[in-house]
Amino acid sequence: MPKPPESLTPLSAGILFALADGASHGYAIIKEIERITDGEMRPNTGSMYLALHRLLEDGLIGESRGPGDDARRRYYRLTEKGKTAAKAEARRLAQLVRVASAKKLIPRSAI
Amino acid sequence: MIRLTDRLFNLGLRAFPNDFRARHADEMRDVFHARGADVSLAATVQEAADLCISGLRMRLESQHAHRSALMMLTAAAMVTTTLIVSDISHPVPSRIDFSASDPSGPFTITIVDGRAVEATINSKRLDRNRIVAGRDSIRLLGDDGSVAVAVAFDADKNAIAWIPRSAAIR
Repeated sequence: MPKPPESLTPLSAGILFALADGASHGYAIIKEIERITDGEMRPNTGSMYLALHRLLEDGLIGESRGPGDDARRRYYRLTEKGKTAAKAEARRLAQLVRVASAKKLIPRSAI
Repeated sequence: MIRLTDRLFNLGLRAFPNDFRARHADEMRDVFHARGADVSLAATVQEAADLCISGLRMRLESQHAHRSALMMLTAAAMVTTTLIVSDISHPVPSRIDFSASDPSGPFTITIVDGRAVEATINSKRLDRNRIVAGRDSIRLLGDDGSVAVAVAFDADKNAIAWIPRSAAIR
C-alpha cells in the first residue's frame, strides 16, 4: 500500500476526498468538505489555502483557470499522485474503522 | 468605505508571503464573501486569526521566509529562551518567555516544554482556560471569549511567529 505523504492532515485528506468527483474551486471545496463530514469540519479560509498550497507543492493536486465565465476562479483537481494518496488514505481510515468496530469502540451501525 | 470585516480579513492576509498573496488573495476574498462571514464580526475575527496563523506557518515552512518572519518578530518583540537546569539526571526542560507589545497593548506567553503555561494581556494574568494551545498555535482569549491574540508556534524549532495587531482589533 502506498504510504500517504506525512503532510496529509485531516484537512488535506478532506480536500482530496472533496476533489474525488472532479475539479472544483475553493468555496465549493469548503462546502463539499462540510457536506461529507456532516459539518464536523468547517475549514477557515486561511487553513484551507495553506493546505491547498501544500498539496500543490506535493504534486497531489493541480490547478487551472475556470471555464468560460468562471475564468477568474482557480479550479483544483486531483493528480494521479493525488488519487493514489487519496485511495491509500481511504484504505487506512477504513482499516482503522474496522479495528474500532471489532473492539466495540463504535457500533456496527456507524459503519 | 471599506468595511471593518474586510479590513480585518485584509490584515490577516498580510501574514501570507507576497507571492502567495499575489496569486490567491482575490480568490480568498471571494471565498470569504461567499461564505457570508462578513455579516459576523466574531466569525471575521476568527477568520483573521486563522489567516495570521496559516500565513505565518507558510512563512516558517518556506526556506526563504525565516528571515522575514524573524524580522517581524524582532521589530516589536523580545524572546528569551532559558534553559533551566534543576537536575542533570532528568531531561532539561526548555522555557520560552515571550513578551511583545503592539498598538493593542502588551502581552506575554510563557512556554515550558512546548506547552503554554502562563500568559498575560495588558499585564493581567489570564486563567488557564483562556490559553488555548493548538498543535501549532497558541490563542489567548479576551474577556468576552473571543480570540484576543494568536501566535504561530513551532515546538520543534521553539519558534514563535506573530503579526503585530492593529489598534482596531482590540
